[in-house]
Amino acid sequence: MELRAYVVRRVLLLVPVLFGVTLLIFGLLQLFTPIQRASLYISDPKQLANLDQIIERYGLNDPIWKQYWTWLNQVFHGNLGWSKVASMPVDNAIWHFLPSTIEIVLFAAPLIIFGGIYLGSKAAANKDRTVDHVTRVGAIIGWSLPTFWLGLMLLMVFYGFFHGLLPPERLSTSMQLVVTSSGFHQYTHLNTVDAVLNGNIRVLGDALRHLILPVITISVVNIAFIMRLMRSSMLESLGKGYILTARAKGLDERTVVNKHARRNAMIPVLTISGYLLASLASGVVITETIFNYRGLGWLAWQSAVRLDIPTVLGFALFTGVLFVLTNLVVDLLYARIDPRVRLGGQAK
Amino acid sequence: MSRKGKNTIWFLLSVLIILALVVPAACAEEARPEIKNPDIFVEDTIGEPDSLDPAYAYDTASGELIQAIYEPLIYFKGTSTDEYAPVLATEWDVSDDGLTYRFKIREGVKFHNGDDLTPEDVEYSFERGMVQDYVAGPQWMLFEPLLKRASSRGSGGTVIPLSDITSAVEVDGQWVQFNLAQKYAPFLQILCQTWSSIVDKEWCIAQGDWDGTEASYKALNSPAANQTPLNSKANGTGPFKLDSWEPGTVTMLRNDDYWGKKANFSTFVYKVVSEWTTRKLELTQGDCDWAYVDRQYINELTDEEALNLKVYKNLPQLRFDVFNFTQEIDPDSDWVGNGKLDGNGIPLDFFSDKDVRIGFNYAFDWETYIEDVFLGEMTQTASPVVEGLPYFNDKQEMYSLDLAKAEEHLKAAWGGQVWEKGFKFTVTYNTGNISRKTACDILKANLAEINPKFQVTVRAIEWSEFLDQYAQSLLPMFQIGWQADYPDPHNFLQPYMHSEGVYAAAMGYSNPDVDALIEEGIGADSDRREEIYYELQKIYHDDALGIALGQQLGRRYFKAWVKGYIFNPVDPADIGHVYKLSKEY
Repeated sequence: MELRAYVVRRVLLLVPVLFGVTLLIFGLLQLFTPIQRASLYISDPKQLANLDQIIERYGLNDPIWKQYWTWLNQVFHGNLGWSKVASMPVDNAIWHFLPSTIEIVLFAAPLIIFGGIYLGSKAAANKDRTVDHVTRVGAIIGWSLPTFWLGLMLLMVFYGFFHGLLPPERLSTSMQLVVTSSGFHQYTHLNTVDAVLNGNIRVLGDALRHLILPVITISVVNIAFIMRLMRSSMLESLGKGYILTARAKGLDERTVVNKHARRNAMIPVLTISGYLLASLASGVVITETIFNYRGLGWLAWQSAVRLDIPTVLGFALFTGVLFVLTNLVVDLLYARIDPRVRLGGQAK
Repeated sequence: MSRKGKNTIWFLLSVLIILALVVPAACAEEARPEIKNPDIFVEDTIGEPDSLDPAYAYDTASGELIQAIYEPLIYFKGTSTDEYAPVLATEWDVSDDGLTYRFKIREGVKFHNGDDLTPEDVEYSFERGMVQDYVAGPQWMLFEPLLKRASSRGSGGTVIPLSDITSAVEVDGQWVQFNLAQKYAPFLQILCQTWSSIVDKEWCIAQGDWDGTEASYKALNSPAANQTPLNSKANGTGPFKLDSWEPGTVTMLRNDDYWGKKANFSTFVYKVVSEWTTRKLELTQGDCDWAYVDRQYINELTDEEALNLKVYKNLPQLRFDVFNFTQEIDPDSDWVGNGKLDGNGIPLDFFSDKDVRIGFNYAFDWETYIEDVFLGEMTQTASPVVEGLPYFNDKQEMYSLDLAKAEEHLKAAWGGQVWEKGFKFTVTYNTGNISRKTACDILKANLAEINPKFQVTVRAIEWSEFLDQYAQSLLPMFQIGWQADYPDPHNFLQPYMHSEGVYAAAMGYSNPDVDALIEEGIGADSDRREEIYYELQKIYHDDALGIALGQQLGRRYFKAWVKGYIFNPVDPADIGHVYKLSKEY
């Protein structure tokens, strides 16, 4: 019962958070002049002849509270406005771009989190031995590689040099036409999942082939981070008294490391993984651009650059919800991992 | 030698000869890469289309797609910009006074949904466009000749009576008649473009578009961005049908019931790939058939044969680029130093002195600019009337780098004060535009060489800020280009020289004689037009309104297997009429 109240309270917290976030962004956007904000509607300088009419048409000169109220009123009526960048309503745009981001995250996240945890604990258990040195050097290299460089290099080698082996984009042109044809039902808009559901092995193979490079690019950079965090957290926990006790009890080393040390070392890693997942799910701009794998990152970047206010605000709402919910899930997981943590009540 | 031995030699010789013939042929066959996706044409570009509504769209990306789906009454013949070929009209005539244009509408044409094309559809298409009249749209081009005004809205946002619009275009049997309010020389050119595309009346009304009533006119006039019923749906008579438009990818399928020559491939994919390396690799791998190549990257694709490319070069674009002087800078400008002519700034009317403008022109080095930035693929022009437009005067004198003459004029400027005290101000360009930055740098270096007291600072600002500053006349100098709406000098001279022109207004340029010439030119007969436009080209040069940078010569990068490309400078985008292309060796 207490837990349910806790969850409800946390979800209710969303309202002030979203209100605050959008108000802040709206306020910041007002630092741009009305003409700058009107530039969204001008694709060619010759359209400047009608600048005054454009500003009036979109109320860009109205007082800030009025503009915010107009937007808020729209939102209460379930309308997030028109996304100029995506040429569709903002909510449609977010749903449209979400699947490609989710698809990358779906494959990259397990690799990053489980791979990072595994390598990190391996390094800690073998401190100052070969495994530790190798993973450390690997982490430093991975963490320092600029994403755009790694992505471009991978593309040049595996697409350019090996003649189209691992291509950019989500699907090849011919497979894209299969996916959008009437014979193929897009249940989730995740190409791999839809291919399985439609029993189409060629689309599945093609989608996987297109996923390899972006997934590697994101994983290489992020795995290093989780790995180093896991290692230090694990080292700290290996030095604790209860580990000494466990060893003194005569438990074998594997049980000591896997059961006693790792479980405790997971807590900070879990927090960070939650945030990492949320930030990956809200888009990976550079990777999406290099591989022309348009997702939320592309939408966010373009809308910010072009001052597409409805899209920027819609995206802020989306990330706000995402982060609050991720936070909640992480807190709930704490309680599962660490019996000392009790949510919504006093510790026993 | 035994008979057997002879036979063996003959046998070996014949084998060698056959091999000599077959092997190189086989190798040559090998060297030619296989055509990828032979039934699909893939275009990799950078411009996201704005809208598929022909009355609304005013950008080149949308124009190219609309041209594949919809059709106008007539279009430019081949590479010509002043001869016309029939499209949805089979014949036409123009009255002697130039105020009535009649078109006979082609019979037996069907829209993609199966509806028949009728003269009523043609009448509806033009009236619907003017009824909609989006604020930043192309409809002014129809309002000017048909109603002698720029838009459907008067002062205070009131709209003109619907009858004004509906009486401009009338049906007469199989003919459609346009009643012009003024003689308008480029009217046929305007009818060739995408904003003059023909839509299906019945279908449009079913989509919630204008139904002919006054109430619907008021409700649909001046829509918000993209809020028009035809924004993302399409039903034309053209060679392709819209299949899907997802952000970044537009897919079209061949219209197998097309009345004319059908497209050579079943599918046309228009794809936005913003990252250059990705685009380049897709082109070299043959995953796209045409790719947009930014000028700064053309050195990466020099080995055309090895990359299996067909490159069309030196294509004269109907585009004019210029470095403008603002003759009345707004007092809020941050770029004029202390705003005084004391060596630490410039006065707000600094460029109103003709000697300053001429001196700056003589200080510009076109040779370096054209070589460095455009690798020689640009021609200097004297005025906005670029080569390829009618009444272009190829004898018009032009400025060239001459520091002695620059010195002479700058010594004379402002009664000698400019030379004595010097000046300091900032020129800006929009971030990322390397060619504009180079032009700023050239001017800065040459001015400093003439007199060290001439100090110019170069700064990059974001595009949105650039527009903001330019629109308020805050920039002392600014670079901007103009791409033809239609191939007539009026379209270029009006924005740059008429006091109400979009750029001239920002420059603070106003000359009543020039205004009168421009207004007369649009309706004059051919001989008089030549006189007027020659005169205006001379005034532009003599008055030194700006530093006329030149006319860019474009390139198009196709895979070698793409055949049938014809360059017409008026085509809305990089490839006009995709359906005319084919993929073959």
